[in-house]
Amino acid sequence: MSELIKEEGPQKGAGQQKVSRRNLLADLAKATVGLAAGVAVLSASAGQVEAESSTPQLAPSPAPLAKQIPQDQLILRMQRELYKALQKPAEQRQWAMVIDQRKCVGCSSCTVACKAENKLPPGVVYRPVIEEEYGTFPNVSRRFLPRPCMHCTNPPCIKVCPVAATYKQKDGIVVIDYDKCIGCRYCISACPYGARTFDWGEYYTEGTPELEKYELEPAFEYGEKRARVKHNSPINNTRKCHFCLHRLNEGMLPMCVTTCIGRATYFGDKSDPESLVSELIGSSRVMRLKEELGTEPNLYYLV
Amino acid sequence: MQKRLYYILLLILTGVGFWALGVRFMDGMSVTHLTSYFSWGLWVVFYIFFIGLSAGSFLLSTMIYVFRMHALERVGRLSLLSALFSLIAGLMFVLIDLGHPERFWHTLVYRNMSSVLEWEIHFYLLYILLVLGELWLVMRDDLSAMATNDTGIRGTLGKILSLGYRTAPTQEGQAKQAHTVERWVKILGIIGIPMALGVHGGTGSIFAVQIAKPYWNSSIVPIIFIVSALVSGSALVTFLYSFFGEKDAEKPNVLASLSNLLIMFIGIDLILVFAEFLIGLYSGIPQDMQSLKAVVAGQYGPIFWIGQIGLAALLPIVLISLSHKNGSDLMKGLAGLSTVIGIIAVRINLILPAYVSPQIPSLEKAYVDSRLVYSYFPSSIEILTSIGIIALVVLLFSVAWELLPVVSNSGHQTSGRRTESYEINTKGPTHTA
Amino acid sequence: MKSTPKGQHTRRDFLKTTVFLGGTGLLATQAGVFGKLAAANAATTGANGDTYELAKPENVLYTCCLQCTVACSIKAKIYDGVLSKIDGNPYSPANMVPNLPYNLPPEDAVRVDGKLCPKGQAGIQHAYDPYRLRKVLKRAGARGSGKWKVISFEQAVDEIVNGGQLFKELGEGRQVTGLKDIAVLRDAKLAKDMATDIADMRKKKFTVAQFQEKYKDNLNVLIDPEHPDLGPKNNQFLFQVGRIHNGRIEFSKRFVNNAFGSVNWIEKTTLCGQTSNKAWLRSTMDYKDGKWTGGVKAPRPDWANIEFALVLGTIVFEANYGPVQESEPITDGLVSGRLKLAVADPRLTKVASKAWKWLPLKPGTDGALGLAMIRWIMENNRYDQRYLENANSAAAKTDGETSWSDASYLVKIVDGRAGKFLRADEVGLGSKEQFVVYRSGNFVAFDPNDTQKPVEGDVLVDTVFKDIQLKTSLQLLREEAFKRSLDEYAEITGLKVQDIIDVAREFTSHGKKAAVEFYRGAIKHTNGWYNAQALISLNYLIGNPDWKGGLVKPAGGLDYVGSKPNKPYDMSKLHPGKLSAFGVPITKEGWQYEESTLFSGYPAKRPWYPFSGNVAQETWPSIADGYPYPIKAVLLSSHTPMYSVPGGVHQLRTLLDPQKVPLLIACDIVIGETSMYADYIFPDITYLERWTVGQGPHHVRVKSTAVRQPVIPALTETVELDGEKLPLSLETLMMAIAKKLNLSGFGTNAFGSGMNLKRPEDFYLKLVANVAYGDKEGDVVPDANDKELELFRQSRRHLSPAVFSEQAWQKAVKPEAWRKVVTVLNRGGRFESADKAYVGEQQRYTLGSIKRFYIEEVATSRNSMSGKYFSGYAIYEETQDSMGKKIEVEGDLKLITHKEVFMTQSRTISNYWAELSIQPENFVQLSRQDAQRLGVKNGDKVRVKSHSNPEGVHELGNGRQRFVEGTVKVLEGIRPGVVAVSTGYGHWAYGSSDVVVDGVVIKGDPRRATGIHIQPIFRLDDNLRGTPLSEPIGGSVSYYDTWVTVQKV
Ligand SMILES: Nc1nc2c(c(=O)[nH]1)N[C@H]1C(S)=C(S)[C@@H](COP(=O)(O)OP(=O)(O)OC[C@H]3O[C@@H](n4cnc5c(=O)[nH]c(N)nc54)[C@H](O)[C@@H]3O)O[C@H]1N2
Ligand SMILES: Nc1nc2c(c(=O)[nH]1)N[C@H]1C(S)=C(S)[C@@H](COP(=O)(O)OP(=O)(O)OC[C@H]3O[C@@H](n4cnc5c(=O)[nH]c(N)nc54)[C@H](O)[C@@H]3O)O[C@H]1N2
Ligand code: SF4
Ligand code: SF4
Ligand code: SF4
Ligand code: SF4
Ligand code: SF4
Ligand SMILES: [Mo]
Repeated sequence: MSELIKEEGPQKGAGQQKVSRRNLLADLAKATVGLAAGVAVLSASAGQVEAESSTPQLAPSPAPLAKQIPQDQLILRMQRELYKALQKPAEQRQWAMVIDQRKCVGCSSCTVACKAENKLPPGVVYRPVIEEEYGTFPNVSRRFLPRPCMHCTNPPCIKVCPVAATYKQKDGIVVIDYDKCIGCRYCISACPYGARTFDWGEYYTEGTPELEKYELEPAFEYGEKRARVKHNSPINNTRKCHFCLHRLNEGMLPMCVTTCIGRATYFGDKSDPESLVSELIGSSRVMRLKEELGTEPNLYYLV
Repeated sequence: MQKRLYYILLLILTGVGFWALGVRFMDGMSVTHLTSYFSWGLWVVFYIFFIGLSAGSFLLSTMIYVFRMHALERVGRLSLLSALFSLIAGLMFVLIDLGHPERFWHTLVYRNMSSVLEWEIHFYLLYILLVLGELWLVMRDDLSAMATNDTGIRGTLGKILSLGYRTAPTQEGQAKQAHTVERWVKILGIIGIPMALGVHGGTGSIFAVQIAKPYWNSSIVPIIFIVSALVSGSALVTFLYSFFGEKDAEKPNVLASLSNLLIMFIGIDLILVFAEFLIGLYSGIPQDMQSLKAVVAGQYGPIFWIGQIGLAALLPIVLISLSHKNGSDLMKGLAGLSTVIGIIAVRINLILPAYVSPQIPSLEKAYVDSRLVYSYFPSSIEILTSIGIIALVVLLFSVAWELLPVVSNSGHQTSGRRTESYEINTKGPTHTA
Repeated sequence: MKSTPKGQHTRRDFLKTTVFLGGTGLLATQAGVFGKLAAANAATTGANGDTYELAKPENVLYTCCLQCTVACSIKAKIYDGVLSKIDGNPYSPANMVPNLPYNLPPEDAVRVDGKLCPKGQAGIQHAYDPYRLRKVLKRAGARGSGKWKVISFEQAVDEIVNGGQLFKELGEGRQVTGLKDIAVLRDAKLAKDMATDIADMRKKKFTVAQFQEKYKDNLNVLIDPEHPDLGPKNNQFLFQVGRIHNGRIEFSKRFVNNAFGSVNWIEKTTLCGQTSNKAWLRSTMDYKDGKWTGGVKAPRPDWANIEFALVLGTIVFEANYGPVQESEPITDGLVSGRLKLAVADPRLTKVASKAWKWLPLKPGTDGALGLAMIRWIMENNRYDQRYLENANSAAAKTDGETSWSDASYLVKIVDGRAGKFLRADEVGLGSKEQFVVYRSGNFVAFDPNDTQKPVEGDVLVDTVFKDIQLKTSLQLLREEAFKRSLDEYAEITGLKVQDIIDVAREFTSHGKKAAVEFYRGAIKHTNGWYNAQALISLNYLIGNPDWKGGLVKPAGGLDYVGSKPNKPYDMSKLHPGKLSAFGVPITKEGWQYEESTLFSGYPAKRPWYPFSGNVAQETWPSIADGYPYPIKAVLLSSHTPMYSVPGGVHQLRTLLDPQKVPLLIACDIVIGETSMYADYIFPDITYLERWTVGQGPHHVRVKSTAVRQPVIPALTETVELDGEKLPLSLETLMMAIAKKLNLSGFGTNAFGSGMNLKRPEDFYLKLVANVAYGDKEGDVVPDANDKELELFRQSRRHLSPAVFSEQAWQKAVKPEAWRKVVTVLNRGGRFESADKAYVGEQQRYTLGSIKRFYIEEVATSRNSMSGKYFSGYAIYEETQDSMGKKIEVEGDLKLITHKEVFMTQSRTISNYWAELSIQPENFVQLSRQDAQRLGVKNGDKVRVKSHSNPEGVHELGNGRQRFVEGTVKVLEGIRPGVVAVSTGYGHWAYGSSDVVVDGVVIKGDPRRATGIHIQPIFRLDDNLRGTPLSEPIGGSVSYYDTWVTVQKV
């Protein structure tokens, strides 16, 4: 039966991808088992089950940067620090991002890079850049606020998830297990930053002469190849910025960091006092969004 | 004839609904007009509407079975039955609102103790069992009678549903059985009270705990949920009983009691709503203000003034007051109906206005997409599926009403204090017929 | 049409509904013209699980962006045969500073990503555009009817070459002249002789009669034997092109100029930065052998070290050349406190919002601002006198300068007008190659390039010598600057006197670490040339050229055409039978009106442009007027005059007129806003599928040459030509025409015996080899080792055989060059290390030479229309038409236009991730004051009208028209009295509207049709019907001189 569904998929390659395992029928089959299991759990104990995930956590396998690579370069410095952090146990590193608003030129390159890297469909955006105009002519200024996920230390989004599909990793990254997520969108409402969006199963080139293949190719989020076809996750799931975990695991910086033309975005391990982000967080210009909510973002802005 | 038309209509609506559900399951959430910023819509509105109806109906039943409001005895089973079917409807709405409905079982297997929704889902399941149990208990004598006396479908139903229970042949045996029922119904009812409060107060908490949405984020919200549940539950039962309940001597009395309850609940509800608005407007948190403005004077204004204030409060009050003068049962029923419909408006205004303004100013302009907007109007599929589910549940309810001893006169009465001595009801004017 | 969100849902609902009801597939590929032909080879199976495929070296190819013209170096990541991600190439100093060492093996480089702008990031959607053309289209209705039929490539080539009654079935009986009857002059020797004699004729050394006599047997090859300087009939073939880049320029010129023999290879640059480029070029020229030559077209501030910059009319964070290179050093400077910025722009651009001072000047007054600053600087003696007094190379050297200026050079004043520089022979002081300065009471003759004997001159001199009145260049400029008071300048510019002074003071407070940067906003005006000169002069006044933190030269790339002796391929020589194209180009640039045989007093019928490059906006009006001659066939590529030229649509009637344009051929990737009016459209491949070699961005201080190479299989149909399977493209088209016409330089033995040009690689890989061999003997890249060679193959495994065949590629270059070529291709070009940029406190690659305040050759030329002389130095002039008539106030708002960082011209409307989402429509941007005055608010629809388009209509042809209307956006950050409309929206083709192909309707995408297209509103020149106002020296179209009225609808 699942063979059949595979064949119906818009593209042949998808059959090889992980997603085919997650089709509607298979899930329905599981549902029956699950219900029984669920009742069993229910009748047993309602003790807190540790939020854990079935998302395969790729063991970080980066290679250090070659020695010939220039040392005096912000990006490469951060990449080296990234490598260093990955050598530590996950709980000893705390990823953080710093965005310098005075350096941000409001180009939205980070937005688009993220869209492309994660193959984000219409309605899904992880890092919009918000623009505001202040003042009156001729004393006017424009300010730009890129807004990825804050990877809150106390994330309200996680609290509300009924199935613990979204959780905080030991290294501070707030992730979503697409296979677990039921798509209830509770977390979307709960995020004070609007950082979560939903995958409605749409395509940009739908309704044009051709549904383009690049939209059906897998992205690599969470170190998994998932093609957005049929009902497969992440379609009909909530999605959000994951600090490009799949890149971190390869020893690569998040996409929005590398592409930033204003060099306004920094990333690293804030538990490492030597790291660039630690230095920047120490700046007197530092600020976090909606501090009053107690979410304690790991996303710092320099203003 | 009328009945046939009624059923045909329900069947058609159910059919259309099924088609729409088919579309929804084939195509996923893209069939909705929800957006990533306006992430809950009509289905969630109906979800909480029905959960509210259910909780309200159930609480009404506890008045009878726990607090011994004998005046309402007639509608005890009706309340339980509507609690059951409302709950089913509510759950169907949650289910279709899930991006991955086929994973509903995840809620039972994967736990997150800090999630209100997670708790709620467990509550709902327990609560369903409880309502079923209670319903069975109060109906078992009639079911037994059906099993023994009736033939055909009723007989078969009686045989199946009575689960082998038979009313004792002796007076004394019957009394014993009645006593057991009474005791168990009471016990279940007592368990049921916090549960129903939990069910709906908890549903309210789903919203109230969200610091991201100042419009919801207040401790008054769960209480409003409960009170409006009581409003809707008593309104529904008033309506159903007035329109479909057998006409007998008791009926005017029962309706009078019901309508008095209804008015009281509406009153409390109104006070709470005003409190919420006053506090919201006073504290002036921008995001909250925008929501409140949308409700009072913005795009949700008509729903607020016509639905929430008009249909759910003023009209029922007027109708009931009038009915007290002319003794019209129909008016009380209409008051109930108006309230039930008005409560839909209440539910709309509880959910949707929370989404009208961006979490960060100008967010909607940062990246533009039809799924990244702070406005929403349900799609045809959302509307049709909703109509379908409602039609289906009404259909099932109607069949149950027809086939099951919902309003029965099997003679068993609960013992204990009589209604007259129960404070709430005594104040109400009695009928003059 | 506007795509409302709900509208989209409705459509979707509908589609899905039919699917649900058992309808056919959601998206059936329509008509086969669109839709994929070449199924990508799904090569990567990745059987071993979910690794990050994009971090594997075999999934990465390096190439060169062309979403905008900056041409960044990019890294294309391919998965499953599909282009999956584009990032910056970290080997290139354009996209990572410092860049990775060139010798770093690609597998070590693969995890480093460079930076890129949003358009570059969205490039995937440019290539994989559902509206891409795959097959040749021939119109199946009137021009512009939107009706097409698919025909085979062979048939199409046959038809355009042979001509005939090509549109008989459409009821058009006319006989179309084929290319074979246009390319009539085929004799290389004859062409060369004629060209030489025409050159003499221009100098009046050869007469028409002599010419007619000498070539009496061949006069039939000429357009007009009475005017032999119009050239051969071959010139009646016009190749009009827009964004064409190095490599493709050479390929297409090889075809147009040297094989076909037409001079009319016409580029779009007068729409672009032309006047700036030409003004810089003239202002930086060398004086060699009595001639002004060379020059640098785009000196730029050294952003990485500069301390103060005044930026005028260019959006360095959004457009320019380009944000990817400029942003980082600027933001770094702003945050570290190194850099202070002042920005003069009527709009608060993104860079202006970060500036110390925003000067919201009135449009078109940059020259006045420049002169005001010059006045204050001179009044307060804040110029670098030491630098300016140096008159020759030797003097400069003694001061440690690389360059010197003409500030002290004496100019002859004849009849009250400044003319030529005084030559030493005129006053008996020396030779005619020498200039003269005045120093300590003496007149000193000198050779500017003399490196031995330092000569200095006084910079402010007004004197008479031997009855000749003389003034120095700087004296002339000073007098001009002092013509107006600062108050008057403030009045003209709309700025405060104090602001002007503050900026001038700040500019002169950082030594040489300051610069003035400007681009289109300052120069796309009728007075643009002089504005440019004023702003260039400011730089020279502080002597900043070549200093770290000063004014510097784009280091450019390596020589790829092979003119240096150590190169394997000298492309200019590798063309046996090469024709010399000659004659006046249709756009009349590079010619003095007076030197042509068409000269008949002033005004000329149409303007001539002796100092400009190709004058794009002249093309269609000239064709309409048949002046200087009629055109018979046009091949249009990568350019869309109906969209991009101000008032361009006023020439639609010319395009639609088969009498004026008998054959209109387009080569395009889509049915574009202009190609939609063509007779034939040949599909082209995008920048991600094709070759070009030799790109080097402006803001890079070390040698950098990017190579563009195919990174995905071509999406166009594969055809067979001369035994080779090739994807359809501009190259394939040119090769096919050449083959059919048997033109030189293409096909068998094209480059010489045994060297064929049958595939694009045959040409382009030779250029790559030239790059690989470096500019100096021994500067050659290392051979790729076996591992790199294997990577080279692996990373191209997804390319179709028509695109990549190792043998075919290898054959294109000498065996010893092959592995070097691979080294270059594996890195997407050749890049020097960024740390090579400076030597001490100066740039490594210098401008050097004379910095000119005074352009004598301009000063001695006349405007062909008004007959008036131009000025050699900066002046302030009001907006005027070609006859020198001032443009009066004709509306209540001045219209300006600009680009946004997430869009490029007409080309990015297919980019759903970027242009269509970051801002799905553009706006009519008004100041709050103007909005209040007009009673409009955000979201209101308004119509824009002007003197030249009083109804605000846009004709689309075939009776269709629309109004020029847009949505209001009210801003604080814009000067009151100015209305700004960005470009890039308001499409009516490019997939935005329905077309019919072979009877099947291909639905347009309404998302692409949003916003306003302002072009039809621009002010036209009253003397030259249908031609926009233009700047007469550099040839620029005016984009910011139109008065408009805005009316609520
Ligand atoms: N994002 C993006 N980048 C591009 C391109 C693109 O299409 N998109 N195209 C490339 C090309 S081809 C070019 S030519 C360059 C152009 O690069 P720029 O010259 O930087 O770009 P324009 O948008 O033409 O900028 C014109 C600016 O001048 C201002 N302006 C208008 N009138 C006046 C005036 O009278 N005085 C002054 N001081 N300012 C004025 C406008 O408000 C606007 O900010 O950009 C290149 N880079
Ligand atoms: N209002 C306003 N107008 C402007 C400007 C502005 O700032 N404001 N900027 C001006 C400037 S600076 C410039 S440079 C001009 C640019 O003007 P153009 O060169 O005319 O414009 P492009 O947008 O580059 O459009 C080229 C057309 O080529 C086609 N095309 C795209 N890619 C390819 C390809 O790979 N191969 C082929 N064969 N064809 C292709 C498409 O049909 C596209 O529409 O526009 C000018 N117009
Ligand atoms: S920003 Fe939102 S999504 Fe991200 S961790 Fe915080 S609450 Fe969760
Ligand atoms: S949408 Fe998914 S991640 Fe979010 S709360 Fe629901 S189940 Fe959890
Ligand atoms: S870290 Fe990665 S996922 Fe998050 S915004 Fe940046 S690019 Fe997107
Ligand atoms: S890429 Fe960098 S500069 Fe551009 S918007 Fe994003 S953070 Fe700002
Ligand atoms: S600046 Fe231009 S060339 Fe560079 S990445 Fe952006 S679009 Fe491409
Ligand atoms: Mo340009």
